[in-house]
Amino acid sequence: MLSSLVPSTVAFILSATSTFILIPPVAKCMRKKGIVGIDVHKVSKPEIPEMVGITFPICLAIALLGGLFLVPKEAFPQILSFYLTVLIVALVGILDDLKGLGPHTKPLLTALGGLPILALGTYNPRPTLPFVGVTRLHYIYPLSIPLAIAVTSNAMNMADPVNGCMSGSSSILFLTLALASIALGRENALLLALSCLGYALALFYYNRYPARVFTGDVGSLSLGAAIGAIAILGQMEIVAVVAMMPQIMNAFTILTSVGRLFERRELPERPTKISSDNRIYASTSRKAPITLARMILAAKPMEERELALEFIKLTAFSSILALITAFFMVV
Amino acid sequence: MKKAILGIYGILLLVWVIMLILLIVATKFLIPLELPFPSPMGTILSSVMRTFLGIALALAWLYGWKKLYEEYFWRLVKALEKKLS
Repeated sequence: MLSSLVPSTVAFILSATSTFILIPPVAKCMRKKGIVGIDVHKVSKPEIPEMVGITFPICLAIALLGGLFLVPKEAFPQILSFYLTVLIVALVGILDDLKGLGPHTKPLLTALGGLPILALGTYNPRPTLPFVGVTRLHYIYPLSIPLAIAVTSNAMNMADPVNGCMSGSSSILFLTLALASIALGRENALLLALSCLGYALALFYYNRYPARVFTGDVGSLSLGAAIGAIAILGQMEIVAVVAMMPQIMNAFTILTSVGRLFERRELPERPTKISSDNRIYASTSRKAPITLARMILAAKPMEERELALEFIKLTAFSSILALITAFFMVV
Repeated sequence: MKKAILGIYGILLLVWVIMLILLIVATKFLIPLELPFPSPMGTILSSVMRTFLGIALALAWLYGWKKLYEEYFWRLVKALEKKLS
C-alpha cells in the first residue's frame, strides 16, 4: 500500500495545481463567449461563468499521466477505463450544457460511461459486502455497471442547488473513497480518488460562496461518474452508496415527488424561494419537488452559505458512516 | 444545531442501521437458502430465487427510506406553514 502513496500524492498535487491554474482563464473564456449562468439565490442575480467543469477531464489527464509513470503496468487498464468513463460522461455534460438533453436522453447517455469498464474488463463481479463477505454476481454485476454510472452522475448533477454545495460534497466523497481505499488496500482506487480530490478541492476554492465559477452539467455529471467508477474499480460499491446517501436521497425524492424524469426548466414551481434579506425559504407548495435543500430549509430558513455548509455536513456525516461500513468489510 | 435539522441526520443514521441489519439477515437466511432439487437446474433456480429476494429486500429498504423521508418532510412543511401564517 505504501508504494501507491507516492504516485497518488503526485497525482493529487498535479491535479490540484493544474485546476487552480486552469480555472481562471477558462472562466474568462466562458464569460467572453457568453456562457454564463444566473446565480438565482442572490438578490442581485449576478452572471457567473458556466461550464468550468470542462477542466475536469483535462486536469485529470495531467494528474493521471503524472501518476502513471510511478505505477506498475498492470494498473494501466483500470486507469484507462476510469479516464474514458469520465471523458464520455463529460462529453454528455457538454452536450447537455450547450444543447440541453431531454430527461430520458441524459440518463441513457450517461450510462454509456460504463462501457469502457465493461469493454476493458476492469471490474470484479465479486463485490464485498459488510458481514456477508465476498459475493458472486457474475451476470448481474456487469449489467449494473452502466446503471451505477448513470445513477452516481445524475445524483451529483441533481445535488448542486447552491454555491459550493456539489464541489464541497464531492471533495468529501473523494476523501472518503481515498480513506476507504487505504483501509481496504485498494492501491489503484487510491490513485484515482486522490487525483479527483485534488481537482474537487481546487474547484471548491472557486465555486464556494460567493461563487466565481459554475461547474455546469459537464462538471457535476463527470465528477459523479468518477465517484461511481472509483467505487466499481476499487470494489467499494457499498462504501460509495453509504457516503452518497444525501445525494441519493435527494435524487430519489425529487423523482418520486415529481413522478417522472424531467428537466429543471420543466418544473412548475421552484422548491425554494429567496427573500429580500438574502435568506432562502422552503416552498410550501405541493407542486414543488421535494429536494434535500428544501427539506433543510423547511427545518430552518437560512442564507445560501449556511445551506451549502449544511449539505456538506450531511455528506460528511454519511461519509463517517461509510468509513465505519468499510471497517465492517475488513473485519 | 436546530432540532429539526438533527432529524435529517437521524433519518440517515436509521437508514444505515437498517441497511446493516438487512445485510445480516441476508447472511443468516438468504445466502444459505437452497431449493430442495439437487440438480444443476435446482442450483440455477436457487441462485435466481436468492437474487430476486435480495432485490426485493433492497427495494423494501428504499421504499422505507422514501416513506420515512417524506413523512418527516411534510411534518416540517406543516410546522413551517403554521409559523408563516
